[in-house]
Amino acid sequence: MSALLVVLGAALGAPARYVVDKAVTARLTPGFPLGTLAVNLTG
Amino acid sequence: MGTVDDPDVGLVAEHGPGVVVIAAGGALGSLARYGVNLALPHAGGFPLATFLENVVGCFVLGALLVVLTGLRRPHRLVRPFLGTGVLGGFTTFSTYAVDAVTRDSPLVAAGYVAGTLAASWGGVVLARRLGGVR
Repeated sequence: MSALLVVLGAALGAPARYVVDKAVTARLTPGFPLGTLAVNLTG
Repeated sequence: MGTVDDPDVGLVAEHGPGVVVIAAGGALGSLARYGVNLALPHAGGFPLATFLENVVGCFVLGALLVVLTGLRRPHRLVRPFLGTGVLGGFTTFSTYAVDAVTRDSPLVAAGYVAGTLAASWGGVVLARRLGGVR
């Protein structure tokens, strides 16, 4: 049961990580990994 | 119904496959992390499971990027699937931070914070060296 929840959560969280990274990186500072920083700090 | 000129259709066409493979990869990576956590439970001491997940994940991501750089035309979904998906799901920054703050011993917390950072950095450097990248 827990394993199933892990899969479900990850299937939601992983794309969210991707979308936030892309959205931040596309708008700001191409030379600095601000998108990853944003994802790490919000997580 | 969207037409070809509809910007939303372009958005789905551009990011849709990536989102799908990242979701699948994230599920696999997170499941693997869950397995490591079950195998290596830590009761207030050094968070070995999280430490290993982050260090191993950094080494493998470093290796993956070296390998992809060496390929002439890697499939565009390989990096999102393995990097953002599987390894992103396997590693964790949030648990790293929570682990650090919730240690009983400040000494263990400091060693964990510095040790994870140093070993993860070292993992990426080692992977790049093994791959012939400086």
